[in-house]
Amino acid sequence: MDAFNLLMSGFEIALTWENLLYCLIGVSIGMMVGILPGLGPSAGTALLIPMTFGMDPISAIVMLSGIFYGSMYGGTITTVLVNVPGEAASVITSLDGYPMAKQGRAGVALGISAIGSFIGGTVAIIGVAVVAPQLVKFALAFGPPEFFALIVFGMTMVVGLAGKSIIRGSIAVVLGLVLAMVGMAPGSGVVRFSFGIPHLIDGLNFVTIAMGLFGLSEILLGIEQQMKKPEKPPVVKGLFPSRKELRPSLMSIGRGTGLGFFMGLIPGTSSVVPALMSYSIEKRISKDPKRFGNGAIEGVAGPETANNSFCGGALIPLFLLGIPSSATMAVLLGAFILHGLQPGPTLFVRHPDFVWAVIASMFIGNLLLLFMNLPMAKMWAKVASVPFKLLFPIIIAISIVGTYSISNSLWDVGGLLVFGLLGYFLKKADIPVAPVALMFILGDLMEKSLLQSLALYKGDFFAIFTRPLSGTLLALSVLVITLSIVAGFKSKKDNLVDVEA
Amino acid sequence: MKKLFSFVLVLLLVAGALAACSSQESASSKSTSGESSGTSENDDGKFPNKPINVIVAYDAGGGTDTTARTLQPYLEKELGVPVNVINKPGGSGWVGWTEIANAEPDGYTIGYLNSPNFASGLVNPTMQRGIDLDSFTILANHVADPGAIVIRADEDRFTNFKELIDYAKKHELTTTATGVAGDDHLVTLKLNQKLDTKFRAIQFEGTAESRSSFLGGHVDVLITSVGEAYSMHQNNQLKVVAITAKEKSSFLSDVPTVKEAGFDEIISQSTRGLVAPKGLPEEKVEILQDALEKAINNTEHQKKMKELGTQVLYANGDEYLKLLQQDIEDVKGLKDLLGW
Amino acid sequence: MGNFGVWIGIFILSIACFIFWSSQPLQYYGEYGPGPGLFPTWLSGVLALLSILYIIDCLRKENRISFSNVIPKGKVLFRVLTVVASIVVFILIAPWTGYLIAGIIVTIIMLLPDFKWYSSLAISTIVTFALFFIFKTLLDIPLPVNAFGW
Repeated sequence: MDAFNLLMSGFEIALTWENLLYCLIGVSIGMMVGILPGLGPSAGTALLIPMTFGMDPISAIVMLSGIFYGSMYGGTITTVLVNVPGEAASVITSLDGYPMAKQGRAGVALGISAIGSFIGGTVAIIGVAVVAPQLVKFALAFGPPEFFALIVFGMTMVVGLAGKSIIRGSIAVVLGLVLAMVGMAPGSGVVRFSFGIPHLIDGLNFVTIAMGLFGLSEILLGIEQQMKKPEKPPVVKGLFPSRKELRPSLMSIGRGTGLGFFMGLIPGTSSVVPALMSYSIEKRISKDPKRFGNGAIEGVAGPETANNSFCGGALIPLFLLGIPSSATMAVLLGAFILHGLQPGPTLFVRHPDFVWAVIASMFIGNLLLLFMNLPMAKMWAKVASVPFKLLFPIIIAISIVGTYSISNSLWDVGGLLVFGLLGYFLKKADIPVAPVALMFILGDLMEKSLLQSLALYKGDFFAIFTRPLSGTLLALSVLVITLSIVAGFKSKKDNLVDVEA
Repeated sequence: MKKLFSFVLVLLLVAGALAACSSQESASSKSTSGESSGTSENDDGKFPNKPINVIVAYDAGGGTDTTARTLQPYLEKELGVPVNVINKPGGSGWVGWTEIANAEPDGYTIGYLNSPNFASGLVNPTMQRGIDLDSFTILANHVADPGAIVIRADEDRFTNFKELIDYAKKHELTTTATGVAGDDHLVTLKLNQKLDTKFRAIQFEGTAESRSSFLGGHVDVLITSVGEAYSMHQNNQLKVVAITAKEKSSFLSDVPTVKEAGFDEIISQSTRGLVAPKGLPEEKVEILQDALEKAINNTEHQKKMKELGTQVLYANGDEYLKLLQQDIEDVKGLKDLLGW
Repeated sequence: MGNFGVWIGIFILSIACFIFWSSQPLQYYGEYGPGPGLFPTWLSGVLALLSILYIIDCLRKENRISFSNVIPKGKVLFRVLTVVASIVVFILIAPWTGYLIAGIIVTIIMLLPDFKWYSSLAISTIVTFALFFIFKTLLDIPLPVNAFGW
């Protein structure tokens, strides 16, 4: 009950006109930053930190966190409308969000994302407020072996997305893993396949890969299609899911919320993991998995919710341990310190006004986003009806500046082109591109956590299996893989549906 | 809705055009004044007379970026021209460092060098890079963050540095590291080399990851820097048992250095200092060094840095060069342990 | 020789072989586990194997993807190439002309086939200036500049 009173006083602070205004500004700037591809949430937040220097700490953090979740939502908009995912988790949203937009249901996709994000975000925030201290133990129980097992489990989920042909799907999976090998090897620091180019020492950039494989290749294919057989832009249909879809989407929002929250507690998890898991759970329990990849609403609702509640859950390790779960969280942490707030278990005791005001403002920010986006979803959806010949040069112009801003160099613009062409040819050869991008992220994490675990146990691989959490996860992975293989052999074509469409 | 949208677009456009025009004007007026006074003579005119770019080889929002942006206003005041912080992240810093080294040595491009990361990159045989320490004109050091050796608050096998070392001589203990031959890793290696301990470093991606593994009990000892550890030490979330510096840190007055704890001196610190491309004319070096010295030693600046938990350590060009050379020697001396 | 799938397979196979070959000098097994060479070696090996399987699969009649079906011809090909060319042009000229000029030129290249020259010019100018304003003025991102600083 104590927490409730504190939360109420938090609302009092957050609901002052001044803070409300900063929250609104933050959310709007965040949406703008999110819409510009390449400039993901972390860069967006970091670039705007200087704007907050003269502000009162609470207002500053309120605005910065507004930028943060505003940009996450903005990223969804470009993903759904033009298939340019600006960050890892959006890759999953693109699987079904973009097909929905093609069917004229962009408004529905954006609407359900807004609703899902709101529910996921607020439930996670309530979770933070109520059970935060008890959950720190769970977060810390995740050492390198558990992390390795989690990533392996995630990989088995990607295999489920691999498409209609086992060979083509496997090529995509392995190609993603090979791309992940470029750059400095974990553990030994040996630089692999950099060929003397300093940009490659850290490996390839994910955003470049995603924007090329998805965005640019899609535009190239779109040009061809428009010239061969001009298609009228889809008619924008309503904003709300049909009555038949409402229940399943609410169910997937519920599942996504829980999943995202717990994943958020584990420091170092990429937000792609909860989104990916949510997507495959939805696909697996769906009565008709064939719809996935062709505009299934659950495939948008679940992952989008998971992604947002992931960010809420991630506040627990951030507030209590000062451990950021993602690059964006790290930037927020920097902003905390910059404004004289040291995270730690005593943060709740020393600056209760601050903590609760921020939590309350996140609640308000999510509400603002919902109210801004439901009406705006309709407007955004109209973007999809802009004539393609006018739309695509603009998207490419934005993508060029966006990729440039990743490391402020033309190198990434070149990367956009290379991966765009790669995606274009792969799609023509019926090789799905989503596993390439997802495996690229997971491969890196997998090798790193495996080497850490082995270094901890001096090379004893079986020690990973004997830990309860990691052992369970690995056993589950084996089970999932076996099931997919059995299913694959039983009915070669029916069970593994091509998600690329 | 459509009307509103187009209105906003037009507004953006007008503002954009205005901003662009004004920047064009100021830039072109400057460039014409530069031309009129001639190109080479312009140099001995007044330096600096246009904005100076400071390249930071890491992302916006990171430690080096914060350091640079904190110094920015004070440096602007000393130099009398705008100072822009430009992030060139990637390649573990090498993208940015290469950019500094290859810039025009006209004094308008300078940047931050991070050691020992820079030093270990120079020694790492698999790192194919085209620049070396003498690709730079060394200006001044700005901050130094000593290494901190940390144990858990509830650790019962050892409670201070001496007990830790005695224990580690007999038993294997795991330590954290963030990057091969990075500052944290070098602390572990130096301990093993000088004190004959059996620490085994596990590589993590960054401090956030290494700290959570340490707090969760997966790794025995956390090696980090004073700036990263002092607030948690004050909160009793963990215990810093020693620091690897010449003298005590002002942030941790209750923690001894390795030498004070009764062992051979071990010094390991990460430094961030400013450099320019080589071939910068002597008089410009002096102007920049002079401005940096005043800006870094500005009491207001130092106060702000202290709030951030970053220790300012001004060193002039010669001292900073020695520091960098020492770092390179240190890493070379550990080549065997690194397996290079 | 008009089998597109075979050529993609050969392309992937050559990447795999190149990575396999480049990872041979890397240490295969480290002190406590896989060295930097283990994963690249195996992964590129598997990729090579898969690409061979893929080539065989594409040689079967029902899976044959012929070149003429996938590679556009004539005008369509030209449009696809203009997009590719425009990005290449941007990379080549941006360091000299600065973002504003490069951005306008690139957008014009993509617009010209569909619009009159004056509308192309107007649209590309609007888009470029808007982006310049957002990225450079609002977000302070150092876009490429020419000798005059814009």
